[in-house]
Amino acid sequence: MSRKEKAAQAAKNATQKRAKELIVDSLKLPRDMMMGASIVTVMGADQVLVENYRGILEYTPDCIMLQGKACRIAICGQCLRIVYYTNEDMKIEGKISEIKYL
Amino acid sequence: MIGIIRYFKGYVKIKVWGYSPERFMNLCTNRGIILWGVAGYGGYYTMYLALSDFFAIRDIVRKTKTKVAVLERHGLPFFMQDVRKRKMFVCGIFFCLFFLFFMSRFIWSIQFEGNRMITDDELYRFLSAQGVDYGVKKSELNLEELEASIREAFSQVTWTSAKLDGTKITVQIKENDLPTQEEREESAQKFTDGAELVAAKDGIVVEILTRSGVPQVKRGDEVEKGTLLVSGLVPVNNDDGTVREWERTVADADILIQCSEPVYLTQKLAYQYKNYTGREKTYTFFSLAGKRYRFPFGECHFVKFDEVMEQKRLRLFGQIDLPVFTGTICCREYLTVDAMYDENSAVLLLNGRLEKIIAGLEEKGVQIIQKDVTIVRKANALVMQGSLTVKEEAVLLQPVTQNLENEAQEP
Repeated sequence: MSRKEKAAQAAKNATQKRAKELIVDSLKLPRDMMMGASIVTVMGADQVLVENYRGILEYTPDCIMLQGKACRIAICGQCLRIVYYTNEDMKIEGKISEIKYL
Repeated sequence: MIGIIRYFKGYVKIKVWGYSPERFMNLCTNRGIILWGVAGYGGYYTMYLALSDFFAIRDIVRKTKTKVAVLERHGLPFFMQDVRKRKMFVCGIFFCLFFLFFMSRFIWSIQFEGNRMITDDELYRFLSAQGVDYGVKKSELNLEELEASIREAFSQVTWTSAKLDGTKITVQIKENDLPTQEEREESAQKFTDGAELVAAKDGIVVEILTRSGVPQVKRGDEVEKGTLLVSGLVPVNNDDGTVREWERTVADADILIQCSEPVYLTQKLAYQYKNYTGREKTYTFFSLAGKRYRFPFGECHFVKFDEVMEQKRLRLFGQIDLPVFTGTICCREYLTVDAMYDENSAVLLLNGRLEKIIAGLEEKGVQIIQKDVTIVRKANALVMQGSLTVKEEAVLLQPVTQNLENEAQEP
């Protein structure tokens, strides 16, 4: 695939995404369901609830990297532990210092 | 709730390590296996999962090239497995539960509240006679009947409530503070021929307010003990002012008489006090069915000693009172020592006693106007003597004693 074709494909994808966003917004559909967005709820600096994710990529006491449907989420801190881990959601506890979207 | 369900189903704590533990966790959740308490320790991870799920992770382990070891086992299935070897223990639990259930069908504590005139012993004796006693079956009790019988048996009781709370029966009582019907009738009968008020002490009338009867004294009059203050005979006059007849009434008046209250208090200077030697002997006891058993056995060998007893009732789960009391008796040895008060402390003691007397009088509604007391030393004692000038309602109600024949005038 040439560079031109690639650029055209990216532009097409972006247009499709915008159109999808437009439909979701105008019909007021749940964004997390339609766009595959992950929901990250942070309670204080020691509890995070993550929904809509695919799985764990990496887990160390200092960083938990999750694979979302659209992006990766890195939750960094100290003494991180997963309180529960199901197909739907997971709860992380520990001393959270930052949450990064990669 | 989740914890209880987990306990009943059983769960294990496992340790996972190897090539890809994260993938192991992802595959678990994809297959609907719930993991909780996941903790990472660098090289390995620990987590909890249900016992039924533990048997479903075999192929996940193989696929992810990890190793799994069971660290802890929790829940009822494991408990049951352990219990198979301890049959007597299980029997004991069931026996204990049965014993509790059986014993909770009886009365083990009786409590009275609100009784002032009627003593606890009196009420307890009455309840025993009615068949309500320690160890009586709760099903045999009829609380409404019991309440009615208490009201019938004790005339001064105006309201009762018997409440069953676990194995404890609480009887609440309200006593009548006013004179009873019988007392009122008796009083009315006693004074059918009228009553008069006479002075109970020598003194000066300082206040007189008559409600019924004819006052015979006025403010400032000096009276002696027995002087008629308010007569119970009320004259009914004819038109010409002569007395037609005498109406008998029960005299009633507020009369204050200023009188003097003699004070004579002595305080010996020599006294004895207990000097505790510091030697103590503590016994533990329990009492059952009115008998007390003391450990260690044997009497206290101190010559003179005080006994300090602390007793408490055994109570199961803070609710069920048992008829067993336990506690300690502490015997503290002392020697009596002879000592002398110096005059200042003896004076302080005398003043304290006088203050107590004054407080007692004030409680009775007596007003203290003046204190005239002196303290003198007589031999080995200090004597406080003098008098208190007081204002009090020193009157007596008695049947009419006036002779009518001399006073009544025929119309």
